[in-house]
Formats: sequence, C-alpha cells, structure tokens
Amino acid sequence: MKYISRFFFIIAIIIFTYPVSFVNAGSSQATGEIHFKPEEIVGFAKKVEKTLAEKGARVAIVGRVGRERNKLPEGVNYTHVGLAVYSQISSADGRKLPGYIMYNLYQRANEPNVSDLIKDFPADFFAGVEVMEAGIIIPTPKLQKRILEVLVSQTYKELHNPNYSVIANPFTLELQNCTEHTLDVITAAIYQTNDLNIIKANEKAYFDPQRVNISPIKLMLGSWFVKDVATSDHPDSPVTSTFTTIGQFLTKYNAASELLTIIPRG
Amino acid sequence: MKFVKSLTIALLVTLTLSVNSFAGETHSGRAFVEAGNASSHASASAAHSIAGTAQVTSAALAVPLFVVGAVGGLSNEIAIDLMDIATAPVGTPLEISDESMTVGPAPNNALGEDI
Repeated sequence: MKYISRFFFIIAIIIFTYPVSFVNAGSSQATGEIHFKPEEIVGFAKKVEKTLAEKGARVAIVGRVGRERNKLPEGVNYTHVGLAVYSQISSADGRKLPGYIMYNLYQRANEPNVSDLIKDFPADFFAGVEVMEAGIIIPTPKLQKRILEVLVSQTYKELHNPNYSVIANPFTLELQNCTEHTLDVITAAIYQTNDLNIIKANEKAYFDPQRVNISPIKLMLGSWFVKDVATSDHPDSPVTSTFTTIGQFLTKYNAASELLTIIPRG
Repeated sequence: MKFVKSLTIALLVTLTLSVNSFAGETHSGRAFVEAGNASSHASASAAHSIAGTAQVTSAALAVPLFVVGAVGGLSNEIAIDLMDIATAPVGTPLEISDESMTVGPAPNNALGEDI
C-alpha cells in the first residue's frame, strides 16, 4: 500500500510540475474532423469577410483557433495565421465575384515537418476550428499596399522555407512556421526588400517574440518524438512568433489601423 | 530500493504520457488529418463537409482586386464592373459577394483511398 501511494505521489508531483500544455495546433488544411455544423462555419466565414469589407481592408492578418483555448500554452491565443486579401474570384461557372482569399503556409498532412504555400477561402480556412473566433489585424493603408505588392511578386515565394517547426525561431533561417512567414512578408513589405538578411536583422531589432513556456523536458521529448517540433534553431530559451506578437509589433510602430476579434454573435 | 523502483516506473509512465500528450496537442491539424484518414477521407472531414453544403460555390482563380503599383499589373484580369472597386482608395467600404467559395478537398482526399 505504501509502495502504491508513493508511486502515485511521485507521478502527481511530476505531472503538476509540468507547465500548461504546449500546442501550435493547426497550420494545416482542415482535412479531418469538423467541430461545428458546416452552415455555421460558412456563416461565420462570411461574417469575417463582411466585417473586413465594411472596414475597407484590402489586406488583413487573420488568426484562427484550432484548439481549445484551455489547451493552448501561455501567451498563445491563435494557432494559425493567414493573410486575407480582397480579390476578384472566378467561380467554376465563370462568374467574377468580389471576396477574400486566404494566403497560407500549411503543413503537409503526411509530412508535418514540411510546409507549402496554399491559397484557400475563408470557409476553408475556418473549417477545422475548435473555437469559432477570428483575430484580425488590419494594417495601415500604406502597409496594406506594400504587403499586396509582396504577395503578387516572387518575393512571397522566395520568403518561404518549407522546413517546418511549430516553434520556429523567427530570428533564424533554419526553420519556419506560418506566423514567421507572415512576419517575413510584413517585414519585407515595410522595408521593401527581399533580402532575408535585412529582414531578419530588422525583426531581431524591432520584433518582440513570444517566449515558449514549455518545460525543457517536455520540449526535449517533443523534439525527439514529434516531427514538427524542433529545437535546433533555438540557441537560447525558445521564442516564436504568434498572431498576438505580430499585432503588438504593428501597433507599437503605428503600422496597424485596427485590431479586432470576431465571434459568431456580437 | 522500493523507492527507486517506484520512482523509475513513475518517471517512465509520466514521460510516456507526456510525449503522447505533446504529440496529440502539438498539431491538432495532424489529429484532423488522422481522423480524416481513419474515416475514409470522406464525409467526416471538415473540407468535405464544407464543400458539401449548398451554400458554397466552387472557385478556382483569384486575383487581388486592387490596381496600384506592382498589383496594377493584374488589372487586365479584372472584370470591368469590378474596376471601380479595384481603384478605390484603401479604407473605402468594399462590396462583398453573398456567395461563399471553397477550394474543395485536397487531391489525396478527392482521390479517396485507392490512390
């Protein structure tokens, strides 16, 4: 009896000394389980589009929640970030419709440590969310124009590094995730450059990343057993970019017109 | 001795649980993928569910609706009736279609199990 009590006591101590679970959760296309009715997702995606259109946003940074909030680590509120771009969309039956298209960096389904640049629509973007909420950052008109110029140029693709890690260090070139690619596009737009050395130097100088609050043991185990978790690009305490830190960066340097949250009702 | 043994067992159990939870939490997208694969790439997947609703329209091409600077190079692809929107200043309220678009499922899902 004493043996069993000690066993559970030790387990309890170890479990409770772990920090809140780490998660990136969802730089991927929604190819699996759905958590809301399709019509709810389609309706919500349209609400996001209409809100952006009312505000005259040509480009917006959009965050989604691919995991229950209480399972997200400290400081992480959104699990995937994409760029919404007001576009002329050609329907399969040949009509030209105004709406938003999402520019994403998604992990591959069967190779999660590799990513691709993929465009989809808001209904696709929100298809697999676990929390029906969108985080929105609307850049200033000047920055919107410059981001658009990057998106239609080769620079957009040149800034993509397919080697993926959920906790990619935004200050290095080794690995990249969706938020780092978005940050690189924004920084390229601000400085009107495609030179990664200039982009990284300015991010290092002005961007405050999110510290990754995970116990070293858990992180080590993750890097051993989970393909899309790597620590090789973190010489010091791990840091990464998030939707929130991008919002803070743009706000601090007067490059954001508005930050808002969209929920189904309200 | 018993204490060392119990400590070892506890550590092994806990570390195993930790890794499993890490894997499960780290990438819910992967969980989606696995769930999707497990359900024969079909009706349970989010993309299929969305694509299957009567509310969405399949779409293929899109160009930014903005004629300025480098983006202006795309202006010849923009429909004439949307040109006013394309040339309006940033911040001007924009027209939006009531239709929802979707890209449809990924190729592997569209092909199904027999690929």
